[in-house]
Amino acid sequence: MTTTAPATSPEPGPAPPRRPGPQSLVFLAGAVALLGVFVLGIARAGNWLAPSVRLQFRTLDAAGLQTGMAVKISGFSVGQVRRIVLQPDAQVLVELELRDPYRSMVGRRSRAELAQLGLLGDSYIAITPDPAAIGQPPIGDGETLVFTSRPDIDDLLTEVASSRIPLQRAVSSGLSLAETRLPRSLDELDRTLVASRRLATRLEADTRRSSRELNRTLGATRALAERLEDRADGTAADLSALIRRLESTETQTRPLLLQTLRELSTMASATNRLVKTLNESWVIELIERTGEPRGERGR
Amino acid sequence: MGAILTPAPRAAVSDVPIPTLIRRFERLDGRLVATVVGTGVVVCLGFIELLRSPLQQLSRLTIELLAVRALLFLAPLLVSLLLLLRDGPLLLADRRPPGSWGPDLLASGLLSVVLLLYFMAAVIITASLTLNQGDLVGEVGFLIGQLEPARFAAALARAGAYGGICAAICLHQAWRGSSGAVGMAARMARSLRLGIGVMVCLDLLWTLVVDPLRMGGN
Repeated sequence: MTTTAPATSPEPGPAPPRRPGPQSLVFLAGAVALLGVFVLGIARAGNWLAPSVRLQFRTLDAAGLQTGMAVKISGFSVGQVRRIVLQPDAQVLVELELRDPYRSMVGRRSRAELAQLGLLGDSYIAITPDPAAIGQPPIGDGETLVFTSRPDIDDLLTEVASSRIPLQRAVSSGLSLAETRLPRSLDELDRTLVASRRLATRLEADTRRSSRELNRTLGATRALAERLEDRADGTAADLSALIRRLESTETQTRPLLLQTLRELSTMASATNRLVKTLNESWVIELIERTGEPRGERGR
Repeated sequence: MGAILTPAPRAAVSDVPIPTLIRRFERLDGRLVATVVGTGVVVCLGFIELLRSPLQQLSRLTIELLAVRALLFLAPLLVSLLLLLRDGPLLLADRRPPGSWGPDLLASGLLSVVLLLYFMAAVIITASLTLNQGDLVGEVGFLIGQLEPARFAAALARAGAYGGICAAICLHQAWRGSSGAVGMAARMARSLRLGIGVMVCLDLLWTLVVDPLRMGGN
């Protein structure tokens, strides 16, 4: 009866559109922002935003493998396991996701193996780097790596059990050897130590003597060097004084020399003129004439 | 007169949902968010304390991860219960035929999802602050990164579904129950009991059947 009331009651008209209060809007916006933060955080952790390459390997046993487990190169996390699938031939196909910057470290010779952090730590897939891959074209998407399985603990225990008897034998023979040879070796060692101590004492005395001689030589050398230094200082002072004196003498004599040279030049020119005059004078002519008959007479 | 009393079917479909959604979202106020955040902080602190002292879990990261992952699993149930306690009486006072419940169910589901986000933010920040070693932002980023995408999406979906189921239980009780103060009290008690029971059963079903099948490993 009352349930049908809203359908049959008269309605005054369409209500004016309302909006949620500002507080509700703020909280709604906050929720949207939180959702964004969560999605972004999960995407970052899952490397959804970074480019990556998918590799795979096959194994006969999926024990210890888990989706999401880390993939490491040299102990550094470079990706994670994406998918583990049982194949129709009962082999296990494991798909890895490797972050793109580390792609160049993996090559055709890289191997994947299941490793564990410590004795009780998390398991991870360790990929051995391929140094030959550096500089080569990077490994392609979907390529298959070789998987090296970890030794089984049962096999290890069997091997340890089988090696127990040879080990015991080796230990007992080692003990007997030690019993027979060890005292002799210790005596030899004692003797060697005594001789070494004697040698060390002698070497110490010699070294002390040599150091005394060396000290004395060094003192004499130092005194000689000081004397040479003094002498060099005196010689340098004398040379300086001599150079100064020569300079002053040159300064004083330069005008006198110039004047003398000028006078000599004047005198030479006067002598030249005199000689020329004499040559051209009648006395020379007379002397020449008087000289000619005498010569003819002599012939 | 009869034509005036009978609303046009097109108008009834297009006008009713939006005001209902708005009316329901107006109740998303500081008190509700504070209640959810406070619950998250208290539950997280209690969980961390439980792991630290009686269980002697010493690894800081283990404690944080256990707290955050366990509370991500419990969060849909907790926030839906809080929403049931808060909005249940409001829905019980509104008698409507099942055909008009859609907007209310949608609003309850969305509110439950919104509250789940606040709850998880409170849990993660509390875990980071309680066992912090200096780098709070890095720690928060690390903990968010440890949330598995499938489980996070499942938690959001479960929160939405539980919120809608709570609203459906309340609306069903309001539609079928008797009127009057005593009737209202009885409806409220029945709704709370039914709501808690159904959600716990659904969570148990999820834990036992769906979760191991869909996400329980390889």
